Amino acid sequence: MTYEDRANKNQDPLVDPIGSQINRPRRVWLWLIGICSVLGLSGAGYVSFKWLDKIDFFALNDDMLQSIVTYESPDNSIVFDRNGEKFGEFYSTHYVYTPLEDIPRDLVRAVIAVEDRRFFSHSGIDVRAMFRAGLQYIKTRRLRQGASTLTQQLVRNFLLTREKTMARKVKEIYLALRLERKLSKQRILEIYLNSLFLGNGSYGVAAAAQRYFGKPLSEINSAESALIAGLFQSPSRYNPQRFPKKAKKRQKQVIRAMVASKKVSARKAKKMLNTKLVYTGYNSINTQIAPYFIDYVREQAKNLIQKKIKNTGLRIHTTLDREIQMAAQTTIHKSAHALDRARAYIEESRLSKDNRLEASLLVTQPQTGEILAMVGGRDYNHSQFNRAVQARRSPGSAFKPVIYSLALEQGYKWSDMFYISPVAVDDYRPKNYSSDSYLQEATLLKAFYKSINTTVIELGQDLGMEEVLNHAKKLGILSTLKDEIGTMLGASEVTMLDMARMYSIFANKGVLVEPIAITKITDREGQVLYEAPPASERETKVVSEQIAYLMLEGLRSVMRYGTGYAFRNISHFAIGKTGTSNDAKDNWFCGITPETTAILWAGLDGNIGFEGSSVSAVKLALPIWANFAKRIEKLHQTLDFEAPKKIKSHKVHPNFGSLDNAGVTMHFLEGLEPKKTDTNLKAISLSGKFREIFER
Amino acid sequence: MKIILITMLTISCSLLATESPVSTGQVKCQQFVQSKLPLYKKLYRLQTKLSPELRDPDLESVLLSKANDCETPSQGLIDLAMGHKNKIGIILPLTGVDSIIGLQYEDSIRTLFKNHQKAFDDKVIIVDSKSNKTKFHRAVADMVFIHKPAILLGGVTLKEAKLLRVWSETLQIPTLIMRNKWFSQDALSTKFSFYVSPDQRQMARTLSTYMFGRGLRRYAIIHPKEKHSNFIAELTSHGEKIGLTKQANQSYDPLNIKSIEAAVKSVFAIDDVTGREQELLDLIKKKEEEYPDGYENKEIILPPIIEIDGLVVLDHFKNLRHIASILKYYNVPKMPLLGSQNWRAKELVEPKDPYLSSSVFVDYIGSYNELPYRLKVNSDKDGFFAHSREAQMVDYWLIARHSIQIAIRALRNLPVSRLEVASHIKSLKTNSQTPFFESSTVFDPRHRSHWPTFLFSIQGDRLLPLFKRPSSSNRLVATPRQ
Repeated sequence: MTYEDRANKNQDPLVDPIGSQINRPRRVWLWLIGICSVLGLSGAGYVSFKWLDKIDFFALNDDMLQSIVTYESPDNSIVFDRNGEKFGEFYSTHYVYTPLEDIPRDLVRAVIAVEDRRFFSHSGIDVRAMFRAGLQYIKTRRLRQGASTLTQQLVRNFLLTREKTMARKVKEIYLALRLERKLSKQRILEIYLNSLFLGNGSYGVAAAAQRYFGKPLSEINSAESALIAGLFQSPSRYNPQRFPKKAKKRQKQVIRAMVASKKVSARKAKKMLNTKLVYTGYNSINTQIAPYFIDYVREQAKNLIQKKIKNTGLRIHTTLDREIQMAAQTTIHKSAHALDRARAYIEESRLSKDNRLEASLLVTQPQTGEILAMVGGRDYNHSQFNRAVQARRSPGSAFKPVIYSLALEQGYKWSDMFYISPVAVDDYRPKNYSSDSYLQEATLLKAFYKSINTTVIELGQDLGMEEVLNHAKKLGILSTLKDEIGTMLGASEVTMLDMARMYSIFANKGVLVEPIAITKITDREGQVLYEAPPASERETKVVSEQIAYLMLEGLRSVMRYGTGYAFRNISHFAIGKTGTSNDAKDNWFCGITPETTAILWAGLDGNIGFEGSSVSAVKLALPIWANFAKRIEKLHQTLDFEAPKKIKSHKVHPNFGSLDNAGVTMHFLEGLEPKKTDTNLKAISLSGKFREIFER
Repeated sequence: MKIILITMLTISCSLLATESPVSTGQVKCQQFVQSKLPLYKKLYRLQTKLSPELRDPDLESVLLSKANDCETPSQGLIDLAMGHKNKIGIILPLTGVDSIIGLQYEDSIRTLFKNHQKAFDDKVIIVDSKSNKTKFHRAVADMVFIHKPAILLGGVTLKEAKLLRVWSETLQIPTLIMRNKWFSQDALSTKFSFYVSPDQRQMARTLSTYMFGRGLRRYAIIHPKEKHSNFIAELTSHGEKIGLTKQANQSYDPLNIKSIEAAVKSVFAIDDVTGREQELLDLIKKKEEEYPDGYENKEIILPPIIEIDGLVVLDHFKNLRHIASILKYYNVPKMPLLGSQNWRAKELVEPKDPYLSSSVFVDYIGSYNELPYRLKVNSDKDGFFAHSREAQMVDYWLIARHSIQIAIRALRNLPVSRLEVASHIKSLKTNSQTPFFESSTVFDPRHRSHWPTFLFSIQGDRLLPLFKRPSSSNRLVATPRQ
């Protein structure tokens, strides 16, 4: 019955059936309270409205949630070896995306227990927690107590600032509520566990597991899970490597929360508390197998696709051979003894952090140009300088194949004879390693395998400096060489890659194949962004097959009769040339097997040599290289260098160049073989006399 | 009457039985015999196959009895005492350290007789001296008392040559010593010994004559220690006579590079700072300006001082090539180098060295294609280089064949005495069949065999024959170009 109905029924217009029961003054107050309430609420509402407007609350919309809704974890770019196995990754921030179902249950429980106990029951915000926090705010005027749900944290992390203000809070609440309508709990949780920063450059629990415990997520235990769960609140404050006690305390909090929320039993909690936590320094996969090669690939990839490399989900397929890389790595590691022995020749006062004794090894495949292994130094952690590709050092006698191959092309032959005497070109007066070689004679081959300097100068003078420089370039020495006589003896600086190109030519029948480290780059979906041209498109014929083979046999003679004699037992498949620069500042061995070219360098990083000592490539570089060669022998399919047509071999006297059954085996182009069977020099070498009828 | 006749006959017989009056010649002869007897006795005991009981024969009486027959001592004692068998006796070191030489001589002689083995067996006796002094004496003893040759050949080494000469003159046996007469003996006259060999003196004169003709008036010599002394002495002596000046004479150890360098540096005053201090300072300053970052001290070398027109290098071709490199190393400008037969090998010009072009050496053999006595040698097309195995052998073979041919010619008329043999050798004329020697007589008055000398010049990778000095002439005759 309405007021009108009642009024009409009683027919007494002045009679207020209700109001007649309340006296008038009270009625007025009620009206006033009501009006004030309405006005108050309206006012509050208006103020609230104005405030909300001020903080751009009304600008919030679901579109803003897109970055979370469509979230895809940034993916590291992965580097694969030639067999498709991962051995490196590129990232600026460390993400290791893991689906929720692959995250350990204990870790999930720990996170929920400590961060958002009622996660699965609320709709984005936890009112009870907010009420608690609100009371706290009224008391202290500061928002100290956490009441944020995982959803709110996610929203805050992705979309908002971290400032502790009411405005931010209001937005956060709204967006959290909206997000819950857009995504499932599982998805929110998954994104949360994979995207939040947990310290040490790691994002997500899997990255944190690697960074702090050095293991994949699948291998962490409950105690470790609890520790990781505690990081969400403050990764820097609870960084276990920096603040282990705080981290432990936080872990305890997490475990207590798990017990309180009945996620674990008390017994298990005790066990978790007593489990010792072992933190390992983060050992990135990049530094484990081929760190220098990884650095090189990074630079190469950037140049090839002109795009960002890190965290872009690229799949970079490289030429690295893991077995050969491990052999190279082990070789360099085990060279410490030899290098330290050499160190004894240097005064300690001359040695500093910058003058460390170093060694590096670069291995390529001559037939394809593929870089199989790269070790740029003894210890990547100590020095990331990649000597294999960045260092420019004097190759010494290892450069001489440039002159000799040119000479052979120009009609010289291994049996041509030279008188070994001091040589001067203007003021340049190179000396041989030993003055005992003077007053003797040597064939071109002997001069090569004994590394006699004066013969090279004579040859070079005959061939011409310009021709020598051009030939060097043809042979793949891309570094700028000085137009000076000393260049013929290897005084100009080159890279190990330069030397790898040159020696590969001899192993590959005279053909240069440009070295590569990357065969293909794709995106995460497999779309090819770059593919290296096949070897056939990267090759250039530099010298004839015959000349290349003559050089191979020359290098073999280095091992059999010359400076490599100590390791002649491997000369059936591993051959090469030593190179020592002035004062042994640089000690090289450039070697070839039928399937690899391996360039080794050893020395000091600073411009200091082993003056006055007997240190040389023979004593320093060669043994290390030979060690490597022995390691990879079993990996070879072929151990022989195949001789081409139109090559003849004869036994020749190494000094005089005459045919001699007791001589050394020399190889010649068909038709250019030696003919003389005897020489007067032999008579002199035996008796010291010649036609001395008056002195008998 | 009968009694008187018998008495007169007896007295006559008695008178006849007593010695006839001794002539002056016989006295001298006896004196000669007496003086040589101890030597003969000593020699007699040295025979190799003498049985002990015969080591002390009554040689004295045999010789003394023969002494009664000799008119003058120069008739040759052995002729009277022993006689000779008209053979040629050859003493060579066929074993021991010198066998490498002795065997060459033997081969040369035997091969000359290869189609006349019987004649060889009849005429020639070869005995081994075993490269040993005592055994050499034994060989002489065998020759003197057993084989009794009319003429001896031997003395292929200096020590055997000296011994042989003594025996030759003492025993008055004509002897062909297959070696050059050494300088210290040059002044000594000999009667029975003759020297069959090229002579360094002749070669030195040829070279000095050439140097004078080419205008190389100032020269220096470098040579291995203790070698070529005769050559150097004659070069110096003859050079002075004709107006050459020797500026320096440096020796070195041929097996030591530093020693050779020192000799070169001494000749050219390289790195001799005396009086050149300012020059050195200027060099250092220039170096510092050119290389402010530093340089090697060894690159500062004072340039050579050239005060000679030619350098005589008396070493074999191998060291010559190294020396040429050293000269280049020290920036010695190209100049004529001069040498001797030790240079002559194919390796002198292969590989060719422009620095050696126009350098000259003297030799006692011209073309290997024009050797006497049917000597055939494997050589290059021009005949200037013998194949290596034969290059050294030819020297010995040539001397050996020349000697044996002289001996054969000397015995052709079956001389009775050895003195006659000696006389015949002395007056022997050059055989027209051997124009190689190109002289009237085989030996000069001092019993040195005449031998031609030849001059060659290096031209790229070839030799160019320049001049020839015929044996008995002092003039150089240009060699016709082929």
